[in-house]
Amino acid sequence: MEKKDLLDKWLNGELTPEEFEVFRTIPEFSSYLRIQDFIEKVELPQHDVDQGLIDLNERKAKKEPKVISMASLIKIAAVLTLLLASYLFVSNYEIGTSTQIAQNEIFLLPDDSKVTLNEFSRIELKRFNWGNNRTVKFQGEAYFEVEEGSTFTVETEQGSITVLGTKFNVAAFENSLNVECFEGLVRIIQDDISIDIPAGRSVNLVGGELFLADIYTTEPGWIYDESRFEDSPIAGVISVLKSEYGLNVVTENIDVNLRFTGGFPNNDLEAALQAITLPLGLNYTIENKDAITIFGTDTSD
Amino acid sequence: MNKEKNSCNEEVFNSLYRELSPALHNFIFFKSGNRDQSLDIVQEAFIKLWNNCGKVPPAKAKSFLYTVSNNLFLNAVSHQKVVLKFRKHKDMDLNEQSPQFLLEEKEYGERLSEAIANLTEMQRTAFLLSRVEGKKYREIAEILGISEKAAGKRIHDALEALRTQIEKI
Repeated sequence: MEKKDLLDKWLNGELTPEEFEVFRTIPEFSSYLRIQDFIEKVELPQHDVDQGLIDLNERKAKKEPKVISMASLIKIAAVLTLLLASYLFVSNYEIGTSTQIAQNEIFLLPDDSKVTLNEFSRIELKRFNWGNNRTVKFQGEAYFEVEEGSTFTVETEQGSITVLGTKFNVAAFENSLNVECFEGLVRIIQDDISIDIPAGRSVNLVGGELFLADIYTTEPGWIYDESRFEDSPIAGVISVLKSEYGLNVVTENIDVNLRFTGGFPNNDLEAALQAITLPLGLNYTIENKDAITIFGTDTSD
Repeated sequence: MNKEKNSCNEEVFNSLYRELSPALHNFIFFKSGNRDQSLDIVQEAFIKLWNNCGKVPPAKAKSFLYTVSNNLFLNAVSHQKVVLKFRKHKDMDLNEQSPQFLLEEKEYGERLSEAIANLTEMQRTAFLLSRVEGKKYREIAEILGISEKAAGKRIHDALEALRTQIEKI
């Protein structure tokens, strides 16, 4: 008889005495016997049948009037979870728009408020139930014309602007926040700073410092495709010119301390160059799009 | 069953409990290695039997209970390592044993316990049902819902695994 069959019979308690004599000669016999010896003495859980019955009868009594089984509870929970998930999905569903280089866009909000976006700007708002909580997320520059109603908030990474109903311009860039108020009153909140500015004033927050100024126009200049400056260093003016037209501008013999007040159109290069150079007594040459030179006449030669 | 007995009858139900619960308790204990958890599962399984007593006649109660217990075990959150302990050999007078022998016995018990913990759950359950409870292949196959041959193979494999693991140092 095969060893395996003997082992099977032994495990199944079917060995005859003769077969057992053969089985005990196989080399593993003593190992099997020792394992068996120990296994028989395994500590089993003490099962108290009477105590178990008492416990069971208590639980039977309690369980009988149950109405909702676990399975239906899970179903209810699943439905509720689904509803909650779809609510969260809908309520967080955002709409918005963004602009690229040299692109302006008018974005109408659900309450008829109008947002005119300057280039490189992005606005987002929650679609669902927006009227009760007029909040938009914003980055870049835009002119807001807000309809009267509940509080309107513009959230930017640089701070938030809160208004009731007014017209204002926001320019939120990497480390500066500029707000110009054209009508009504706006409140700017950045960390723990909070400032109210009335119509005709602007505020510029740069790295925690605050600059207030007057404004004389009724709408931001860029709305008319114009760049405007108020006593600005010439270098800044030229860098705006470069970015508006996508040019490479070289300067020669220019006093870096020159300051510029005024504006230039963003759609007519010749006119823009004249607008900058004439008041400051400078000259310019245009060889091609990538080689524009602005130079001072006041040179040694 | 002498008469048309129903599991919903309190007496029938109680006698089913007396008859089946100890082995069921061991069965779940072999799987889970947790005394408290296995008792909970036994009680829960009998509650389920009571709640379904109209559908489960006493003759089917056993397989119902094992199936339900197995499912409850699979659903239970924590599956821990199954560490079995062995009683001292009571037919030996401790005073007569040399410390060397006692130490060897203790070490052997620990090695065996570790080896049993390393078996697969299926192997361990089949093996312990056979070796501890002395159940025949046929009954084990029935409880585990597998063929007799498969049950035998598991018990075989388990025994060989234990032997080789203990003998290797």
